[in-house]
Amino acid sequence: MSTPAIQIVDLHKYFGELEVLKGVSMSIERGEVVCVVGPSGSGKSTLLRCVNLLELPTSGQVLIDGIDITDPKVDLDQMRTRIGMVFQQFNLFPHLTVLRNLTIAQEKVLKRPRQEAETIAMEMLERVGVANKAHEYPARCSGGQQQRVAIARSLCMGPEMMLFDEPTSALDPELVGEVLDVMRSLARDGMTMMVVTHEMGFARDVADRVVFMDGGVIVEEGPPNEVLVNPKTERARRFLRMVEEK
Amino acid sequence: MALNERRVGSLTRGTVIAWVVTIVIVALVVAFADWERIGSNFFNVDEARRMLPQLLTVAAKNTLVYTVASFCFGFVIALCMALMRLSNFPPARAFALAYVELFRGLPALVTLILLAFGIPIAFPGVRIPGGQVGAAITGLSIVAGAYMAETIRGGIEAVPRGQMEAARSLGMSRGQTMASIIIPQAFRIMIPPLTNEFVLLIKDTSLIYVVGSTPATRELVKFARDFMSDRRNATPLTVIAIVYLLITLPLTYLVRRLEERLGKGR
Ligand SMILES: Nc1ncnc2c1ncn2[C@@H]1O[C@H](COP(=O)(O)OP(=O)(O)OP(=O)(O)O)[C@@H](O)[C@H]1O
Ligand SMILES: [Mg+2]
Repeated sequence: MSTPAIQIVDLHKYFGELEVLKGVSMSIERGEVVCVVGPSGSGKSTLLRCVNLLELPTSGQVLIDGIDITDPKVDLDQMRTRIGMVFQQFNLFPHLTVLRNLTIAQEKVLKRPRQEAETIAMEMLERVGVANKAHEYPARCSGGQQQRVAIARSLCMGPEMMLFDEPTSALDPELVGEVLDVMRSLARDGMTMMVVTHEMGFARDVADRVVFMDGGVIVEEGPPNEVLVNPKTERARRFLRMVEEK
Repeated sequence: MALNERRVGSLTRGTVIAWVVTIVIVALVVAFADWERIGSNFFNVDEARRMLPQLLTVAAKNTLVYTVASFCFGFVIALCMALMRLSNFPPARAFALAYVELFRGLPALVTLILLAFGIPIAFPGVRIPGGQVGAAITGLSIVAGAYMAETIRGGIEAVPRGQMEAARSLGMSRGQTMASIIIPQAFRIMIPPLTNEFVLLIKDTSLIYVVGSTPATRELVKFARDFMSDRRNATPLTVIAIVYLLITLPLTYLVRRLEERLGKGR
């Protein structure tokens, strides 16, 4: 088998005394879509944020395309351009127009000329369907549009993989669909994706694999129609019942 | 909405009361004051005329030059201190903290005197460039830097953490993120308190007289004091009070407009 896109090896993370990740190991192949589900506080976000080292693991390794990025000698900024990240709260830059949100890192990090950066930005905005908002400020966009802009902003860097942390949780229900559609089309185009989500429908349809986390460990993982339909563990069954009741 | 209306309501009531009290006091003063003497001592047109044109070409100009210079240098110092305060390097944090606490704790007057007279005594041969004016501006910059450092730090900390995370996850370095994402946003938050510092600084320039001045380097207060002791008349005080207001009032108005314009991006 080829080198996995993402490989996490025996990851531990403490916040002070609190052990949030208690030895997590998993890997994601190129082009694979993996959804991470589990109850609140189980460490899903922390795990995701360790993948691009927004959170520094206490011990363990994170290998991106075979390169251990916890090694201090690795150029982390360079590495991060290869890993897109989408946040629950969008985190667009409110003082910049949508277009500028998409070009600033291209210019500063990839050293692309303004003209080229704008062409790429417009292409990506087109792709997520918000090109008409290019010259607006983020505050003038709906939540769904803002999240799609945030996805486009990541895509501008030409990432090989994307991390999503509950990308639809801050959205009004009627705006969830448009963001999930964009993510679906990314998956179809072969993007490697690691998605923390509570959208079980999305996980069932799109994920190649589902990882169920609880209490800082991976309790169960496998194809969606096993983990989400016929879970082996009692903990996963209880979680799914709870989600369905909502 | 209802809460807002109530606040507006009580504000209006407060304003009305304030006006009534003011009018009563003014009426009493007008009724019982010795207008002849007030007029000749505080509102003497001949005395006021004597102050021109130096009032504007020297005194007001110097006040403005000292203020703007101290504000600019102070801002640079403050930005350094704020960034040091927020760095991961403990000695830098400690230094910035000590700086802020020291110069906020001392009266500006003491800092000025220590700098202008203490340094030449303590370190013979060391000269602050620009003579007395240089020493005065340096002193005010140091003090302003201490106050503004806290303002800037507050502004930077008020920018949500997600902004740093989003920029870093795009591959931007910490420095790039600070310069083009965090500080521009922090600056909007800082505009009102920074205006405040500027207005305070305008008034602090009146302390410069302690380091000594020549006729050409006098600012408004020293200029008025010289006139008052020469002429035994208080009109210069009234005149410079008006000049101070002519500087500060448009400034606060301008900044309010600026804030409204910048607010659009939010
Ligand atoms: N920066 C931090 N400092 C201290 N504790 C933290 C920090 N971030 C997360 N935690 C704690 O770590 C635990 C796991 O948090 P995490 O955000 O990873 O959970 P999660 O599975 O993403 O939950 P949710 O579904 O609510 O987002 C929680 O108990 C949380 O309080
Ligand atoms: Mg989370």
